[in-house]
Order: sequence, then structure tokens, then C-alpha cells
Amino acid sequence: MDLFGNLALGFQTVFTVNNLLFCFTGVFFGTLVGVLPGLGPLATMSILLPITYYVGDPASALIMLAGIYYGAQYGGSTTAILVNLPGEVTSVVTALDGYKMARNGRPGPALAIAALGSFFAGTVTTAAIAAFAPALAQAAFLFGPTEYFALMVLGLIAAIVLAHGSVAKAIGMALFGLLLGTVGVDITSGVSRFSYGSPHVMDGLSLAAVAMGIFAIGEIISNLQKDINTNVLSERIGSLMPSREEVRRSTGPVLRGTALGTVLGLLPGGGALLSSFTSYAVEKKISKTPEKFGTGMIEGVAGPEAANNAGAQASFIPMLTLGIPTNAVMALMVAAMMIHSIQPGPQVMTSNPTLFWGLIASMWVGNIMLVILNLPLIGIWVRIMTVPYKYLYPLIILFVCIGVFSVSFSQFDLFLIIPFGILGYLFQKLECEPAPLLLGMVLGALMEEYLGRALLISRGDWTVFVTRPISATLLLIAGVLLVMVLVPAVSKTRDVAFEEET
Amino acid sequence: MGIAMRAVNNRDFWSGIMFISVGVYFAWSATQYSLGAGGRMGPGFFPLAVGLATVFVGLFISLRALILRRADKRIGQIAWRPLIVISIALIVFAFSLPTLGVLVATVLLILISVLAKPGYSIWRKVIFSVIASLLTYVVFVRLLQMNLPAYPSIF
Repeated sequence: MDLFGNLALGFQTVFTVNNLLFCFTGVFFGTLVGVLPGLGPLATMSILLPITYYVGDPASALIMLAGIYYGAQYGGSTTAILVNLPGEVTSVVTALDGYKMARNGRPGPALAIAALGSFFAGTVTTAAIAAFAPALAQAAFLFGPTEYFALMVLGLIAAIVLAHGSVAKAIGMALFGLLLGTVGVDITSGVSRFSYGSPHVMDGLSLAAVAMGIFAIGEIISNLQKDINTNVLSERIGSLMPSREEVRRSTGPVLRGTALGTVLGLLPGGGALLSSFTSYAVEKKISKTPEKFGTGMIEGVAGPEAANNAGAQASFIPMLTLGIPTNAVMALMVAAMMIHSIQPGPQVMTSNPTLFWGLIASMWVGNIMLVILNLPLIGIWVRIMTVPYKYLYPLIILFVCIGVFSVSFSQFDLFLIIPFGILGYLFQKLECEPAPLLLGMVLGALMEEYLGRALLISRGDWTVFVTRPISATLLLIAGVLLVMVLVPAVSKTRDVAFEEET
Repeated sequence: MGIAMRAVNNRDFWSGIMFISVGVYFAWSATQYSLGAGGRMGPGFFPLAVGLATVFVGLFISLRALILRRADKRIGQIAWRPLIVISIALIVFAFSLPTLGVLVATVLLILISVLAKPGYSIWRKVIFSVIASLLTYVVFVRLLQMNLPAYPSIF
């Protein structure tokens, strides 16, 4: 099947009332979540994850979940620009210059450029995915258990490198996640581990309970302590039209941001966050007036916005082609596929073409919906930003409970939320980044299985990981990343980048 | 005594302790499973290895915290009220959902949860929880056809 044939199939799948509805629901909730501080796409996706079970058609489920992810990128920019409260971590850089533009009386153009830049990036990346995915899936067949193991190691290391705060603690969190992943029945030997004979954890700890406990509940407890209140927008938005000058200045950054995002999103650990930070740094470096960054430079909004959308969508590629989640968000998408009994991997493209191409096509459709939602309909979000947190958080707790229960109707899982909620809060207080833990937990059992198989094939020879070329390259990259992070010069830049978040 | 005093209030120190405990627990429990031999990994191998690595990392973090003694790593106040209130709310929900059904359980959940953030009248809270409960019923049980127990089991 050629490119156009595939895309045609994809659009056919998307343009059904059902799927359009799911796409819209996804991007709507994504924007909502992006706008509201204290709730991220990760928590929302884990809350909606169990509901996808009832959706029936896996394509619809994935379309919706995907919409949440890139929708949140749009929503986060809105609050970042209007009230200097980035709804999402990925919008932190947007706030740097975007908010200043708002204060300079040009919030409308900032919003417009952000949305349009994101849309352009989204379109290009969707096309790139469509064009390159088949080739990548072919390459995936070169991957044996050794290579998969190495890739997962790389993914974990990348997640660690990108985590806020101390690298050592992130490593600890990843390891903690791996350990949690071993709870339950070991696939290879059939032995039930760490379960004390309880039948409730045979399939492992409920990912929903753990994820929602740590992210949503932990976040809520922490927010209640900080006593956050959603800010009221004081200034009117006015016209959305950017000036010709602004459009001219934005074209370069948008193009560069798109390219950066598409490439960086592919890498394990990559995605929206890495792309937006890198784009800001790049724009600042090549600008003729770098000192003006932070005062309201449109380049500082256009580039990162394009990059974060491109990065978010590109990060789907490794998951869709190789079946490996390269960041915590993709880990949830993998979980969603498994709920629908779809084994993620290179065969998905050929065995579920409607799912594959439908998802890709939906990203473009979703982007269109988002531009409409975020520009003309921006008034809705402004109003929502004024809902008091005291009404919001009990509802979130409620959704978490319903969500967890609906996965396996296990009362045990409900109880499981509590220790992980407390743990989530603890992580916040101790400044331990939870994302590596989630990735570790999803990868835990898988990594062990691949390690086992690799060793079985090599008859106990550990050097096989460095003698096979692909595996060696992946591990080398992982090693380089780790060293880079530990080298003082780089870690200072990293600290500065994350400093600006608080 | 100086070191001991400062250690108690240091985030990194306690992070390390957490990792050490987790690592020790898993590694220790893993020894009851076969470790395997030669090329065949047993069920105990991976947890043991990763557990030990975790202990090692934890030791590193705690010791570093003790040596560096950075003041900016102090743990702030613990938010006991939200922590306890929400935990109780969740426990109550977990117990009551199967027996009392989602309508009642939701009301209880919300009523207890709002205690975590004081500041508005008891009537508003009751109305809020009832509305939420009805909405939950309509959306989840009716619309999405979820198999949640709706009514107390005596009905």
C-alpha cells in the first residue's frame, strides 16, 4: 500500500461520527487539562484509560487518548501566555516570552502564533509519520530481544536524564518502578512473586491505581497544601490578528521548531518537553538580539510551540512502529492497546491498518479542531480558568476512583490507590520525579522477559549486548546521555532550564 | 549530634532511605525464588539485581546528603489534613462502593473530600455531592453502561 492509499484509509477511519466524536472529546479534555493547573495529560490519560475499555473499538480509544496528549500542549500555552501559569510543563518556555507579550498588550497575536505554529507543526509531523513509519517498522524486524532490551534501557536512561532534579534520585525512581513491575506472576517461570498468595496482584499491580494514585491524588494533596487558586484574567484579549512583521519573524522559528520536534520526538525520552526547551535555546542562540529574549520576543513563542506539538506527535512513532514506549505518556498508550488485546509492535501496522492509519490521520484532524477550539472559542477557556479548585479536586478524586474500579472491578485496586496516593505526595515533598517510576513499572516485566530471552539465546553470554551492532549503538547512546548529564557544565544548564519553571 | 539533626530535615537523605528500604525489601524477598543458573534466569534474579542496585543508589543519595548538608533541601511542612482526609475518603469509598452502591459512595466520597479544604457552607457541600453523585450515575452507569453497583445491596 502506498502513502496515499494509507492516508486515505486513515481519513476514512477518522471521518466517522464516532471517531470524530472521540477525537473531539480527546482534544477538548486535553485542552481543558492543559488549561487547568495541577492536572496533567498523564493523570488525565490514566483516568480516562479505563473508560477506553468500554469504548469497544481500539482505534477510537487511541484517537481519544492521543488527542488528550497533544491537546494539552495547546491548552497549556493558553494559560502560559495569558496568566503566566503554564498549565503544562511543556509550556514553561512559552510563558517566558508569551506572557511578556500579553503584558505588552499583544496577547492575541501570541495566542494566534502559538496555535497556528502548532498546527503547522502538527500537519508536517503527521505527514512525516505517515511517510516514515512503514520504513521504520521494516527496520524493526531487525530487532531481536537483545536490541529491545537495549532500547528499553535507553528509554529509561533518557527518562532519567529529562527528569527534574537530581539524576541520582531519578535513577532510583526508575529502579523502583522496575521493582514494582516485577510484582505478580513471572511470565517465564510461572512463579507468583511478592504477592503473599493474594490473587489480586496476579497480573501485577494495577497500573491504573498506581498511576492515578501517584499522579492525580499525590498532586491533589500537594496542591491543597499550596492552596492554589486559579487566577482570574484581568485584561481583555482583544484582537487575535498578528501583524505582518510578527508573522514574518515567526516563520523561521516555526520551521525550525517543527524540524527539531520531529527529530527529538523520535528519541527515547523525547517528546514535547525536550523539543520545546531545545527550540527556545536554539532560537535564542541564533537570534540577532538574544538579550531581548524574555521581554516578549515572538520567536520565543513560535519556535517552542511548534516544537512541542511536533515532539508530542513524533513520540508516537517508536510506540507505533516498534511497540516500545519511549516516555511515560506512550507507556499509557501501550497500556491502552493491551487493554484492547492488541500487542504493540511492528506487526500492528499490517495487522491493524485501520487502527494505525486512523490514529495518524486523527492527529491532523485533531489539530484542526484544536485551532478552532483555541482561537475563536478561547472565551470558554477563560471562563473555565475561574472555577475554584475546591470544586475541582473532589471531582478529580471521584473520577480516579471510578476509573480504577472500572478496570477490573476489584475492590482491592481501590484500596491500592491510597498507599500510592500517599507515595505520590511523598515524592513531591522529597522532590523525586515520578515519571521514570511509571516508565520503569510498565517496562519492568517486559525488560526482564527480553533480558531473559536474550541470555537464553546467547546461552548466558552477557557480552552479546555489546557485540551486536544495534544493541551496542543504543547502549552507547544511553551511556553518552548519562555521562552528559553527570558532567557539571551540562548539569548546570539543565538546572537552569528547570529552575525557570518555579 | 549536628549531623543527625540536619539529616532529619533533609529531602535527599529521606529519599535515599526510601530507596534503601524498597531495595532491601525486594532484594531480600527475591532470595526465596530461584536465581537460575547459566543462561536461564530464574524469577529471583531480576528483582534481586535491581533491588541491590536500588539499595546502592539509595546509599549514595543519603550519604551525599549527609556530607553536603545543604540547607535548601529541607522538607517543608507535611500537609497532614489533606493527606488524612483524602485517605479516609478513599477508604470509605472503597468499602462502600460494593456494598452501598455508587450513588451513596459518591456522596460520601465528596462530602469527606471537601473537608480537606475548609471554606464554604455545609449546604453547598451537600448539594455539590448530591449533584456529583447523580451525574456519576447518569454518565457512568447509564451512558457508558459501566457495570457499577448502583444501589445499596439490600435493594
